[in-house]
Amino acid sequence: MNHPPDTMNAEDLIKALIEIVGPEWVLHEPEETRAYASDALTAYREIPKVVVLPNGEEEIVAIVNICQQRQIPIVPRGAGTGLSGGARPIREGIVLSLARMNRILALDPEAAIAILEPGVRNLAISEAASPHGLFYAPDPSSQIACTIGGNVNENAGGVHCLKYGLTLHNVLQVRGILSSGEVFECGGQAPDSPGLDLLPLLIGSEGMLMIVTEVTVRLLPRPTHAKVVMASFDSIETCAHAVAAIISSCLIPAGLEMMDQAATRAVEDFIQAGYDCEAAAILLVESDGSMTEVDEEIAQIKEILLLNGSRSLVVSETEEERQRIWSGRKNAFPAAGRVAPEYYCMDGTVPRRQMAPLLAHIAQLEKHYGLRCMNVFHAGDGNMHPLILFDGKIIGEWARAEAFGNAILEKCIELGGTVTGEHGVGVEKLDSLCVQFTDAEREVFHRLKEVFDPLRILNPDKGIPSLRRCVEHGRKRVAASDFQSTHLEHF
Amino acid sequence: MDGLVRDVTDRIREAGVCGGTLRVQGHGTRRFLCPSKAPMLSIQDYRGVVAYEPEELFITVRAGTPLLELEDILDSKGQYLAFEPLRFGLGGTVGGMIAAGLAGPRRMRSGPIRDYILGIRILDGLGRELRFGGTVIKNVAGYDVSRLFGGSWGRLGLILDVTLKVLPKPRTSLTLTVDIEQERALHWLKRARSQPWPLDASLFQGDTVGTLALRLEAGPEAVKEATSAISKELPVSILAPDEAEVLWRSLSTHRHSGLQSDEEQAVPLWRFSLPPSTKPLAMTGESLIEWHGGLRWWRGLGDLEALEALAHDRGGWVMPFDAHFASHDPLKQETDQNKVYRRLEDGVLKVLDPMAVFSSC
Repeated sequence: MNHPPDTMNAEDLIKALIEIVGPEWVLHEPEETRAYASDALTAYREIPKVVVLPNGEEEIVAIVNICQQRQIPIVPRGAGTGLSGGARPIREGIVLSLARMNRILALDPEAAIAILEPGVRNLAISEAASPHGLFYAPDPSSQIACTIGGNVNENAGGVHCLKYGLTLHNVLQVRGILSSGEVFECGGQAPDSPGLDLLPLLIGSEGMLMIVTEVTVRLLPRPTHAKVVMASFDSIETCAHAVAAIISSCLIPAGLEMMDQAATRAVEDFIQAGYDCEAAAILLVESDGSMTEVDEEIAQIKEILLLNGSRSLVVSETEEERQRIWSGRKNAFPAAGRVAPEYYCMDGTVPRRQMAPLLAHIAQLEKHYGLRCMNVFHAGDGNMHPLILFDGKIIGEWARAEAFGNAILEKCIELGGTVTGEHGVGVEKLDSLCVQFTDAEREVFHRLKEVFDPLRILNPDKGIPSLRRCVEHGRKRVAASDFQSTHLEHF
Repeated sequence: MDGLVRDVTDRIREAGVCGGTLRVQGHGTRRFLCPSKAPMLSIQDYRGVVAYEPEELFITVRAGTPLLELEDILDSKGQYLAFEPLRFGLGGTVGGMIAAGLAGPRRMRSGPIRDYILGIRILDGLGRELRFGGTVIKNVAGYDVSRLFGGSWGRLGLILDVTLKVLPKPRTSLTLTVDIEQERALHWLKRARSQPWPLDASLFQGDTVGTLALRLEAGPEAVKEATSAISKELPVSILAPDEAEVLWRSLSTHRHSGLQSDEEQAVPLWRFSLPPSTKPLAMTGESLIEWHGGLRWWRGLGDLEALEALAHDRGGWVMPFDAHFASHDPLKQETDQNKVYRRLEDGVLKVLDPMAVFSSC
């Protein structure tokens, strides 16, 4: 039986935390804590009462011990670049930032591995590996800022994961602190180990199972050459069809990205990447490897694209040109931020052949909700990022954007996909999970959490919706469908 | 087909109520590694492809589908299972392949089997049909339960069907061989891992001196380039394609002469899983070293505890590749770390099989 928790007022908690980490690493004044009110999905905010920045496992264990005795929720946080509200603070809890633990503990170029503290930035890994001709493959768009601890917790992807895999495929070992204060290590440098392989459970667990303190990643030989083809299409359907044609010709390009006209126009205004703004959609296809390999593959790609309706195409001739072409795609989100006061980024994934039907549906939803949407996506793996443009200052517009987003996600499920490919569930997609999984499946998730975190203090109420929430969501869905059928003219 | 699922569900529920146990079995080719005495629950008649979309790079198959049948289907579209599953002879089902989680020669390039599981449909220990994951490569909704089934030896539940990521087959395969000292071979392999070569599989066979075989797989140009680069470092010769085929097949089917345990003489076969850069283990007699040094097979009379100490010191594991393989518990030492692992593992097993219907070996 659990003992009733000790109570502790905020002042005593702050004192106790200061004893562990020192006064400069406990933030509690609103002007300091405000910066931690949300992750990059700023619509979900809560100014935390306390933010603590430990340095090292021992300090984390001491913090966790205080919190577990008093059942104070802990929200672990990396760089706060997440896009699903996973790091949004919890009113009665603390935010535990891992930003100070940012050392590369070891980098063994011959074994091609790196051992990292959780706060090491994604790009810093590849930068450190670069002199040895190696790189760390997963490259989410936020890679300048986001940290490996956050990547592990979100199973981050990027534009190159069709060929090089997600975080899951590139992490060998994870070490962390459980809510009991115990150290837990999983995986290793040996290719397999006896017993259940629990590593996949931890990767993508959104800070709900443990606080990650150390990550061992594999590094890959950096390809010596890379070229990108930029192809224009007169319709989304032709473009989606060309993607299918590339994959079925036994090619696995290093990158395969698609943008619709709304996205290319916004990007061109912002960054002048040289995109064809008259095309209904453009496709970026990258090949990497040795020079002869790349030339061989690019020739094949060009032929397939021309055979499949590309009206014009450009191949990068220099590294500078390649970077310029990619800069447009990598700046699509900030470009959206310039054409509208705010944007709401979705992350559904559908089988590739369903991309065109989904985009057609999104076009209808734009009319229905009276909001514009621009689309960028990882076409190689069907992971779409519709960016719904809105103005939060106009009353009702955020609610409409949210409803628009949910409608997209439910369509993704209907088309055989998932509500989140790489951004995670966080607080944002809790309702959508009610649709994607059955009660029994969600119960399994809850019970798995209990195994790792019986007191439910690690990022509770994120990631997996409660049964009650899903019942309410079910009611809302019924009400919404009535509403839509009778009051359509309101939109 | 549905009748079969109904029957199986009934038996699971009945076992749960009566405190019975069951073992799930396909063709039984891996049973020698996990010889449970519990009554059998056969899934070998639950077979066939549920969905195959080559351009989507996935296939969904029922667990009882013969592995050979699956490979033929993929081959007809120029695709394959990149992890080159280890199998024992010609039999074996897809369900058994997932449950055992044993990859073949291509493991260091492809990653483990669980990396290729995109989704799974199971019956849990209460007989409930549950689905996790899906058919798409990127999916972070909910915990990644489907991948837990890789190497679970049937303990988490009965796999009904599984969706696997498939990949196009490389266009060219070339095997190079060279006579070389073991130490030098391992040193070379360590360095080769940071080179941009399509080094797809490797095998060292011998004692302190032996033969190293290297398999390169990619497009013709990349294979040609790598061959010329490697030739500058090692005096390699090209193995004839049919001989190469026989060699790698003898590893993926576990029929290589170096992999046979000598039951009459009671000489066991040991399987070491080690960080690939581990130096030679200095065992007496021949070893087979795969996975660029990560997997080492040794046949000999050894003291289990001494061998375990040897492997643990190097950050790895060793297990006899026999009836004790799947049940052997190297975590039995009561360190704090091991206790935590054991508690979490037991907890996870109980979530999906609260009545402990699915027996361990």
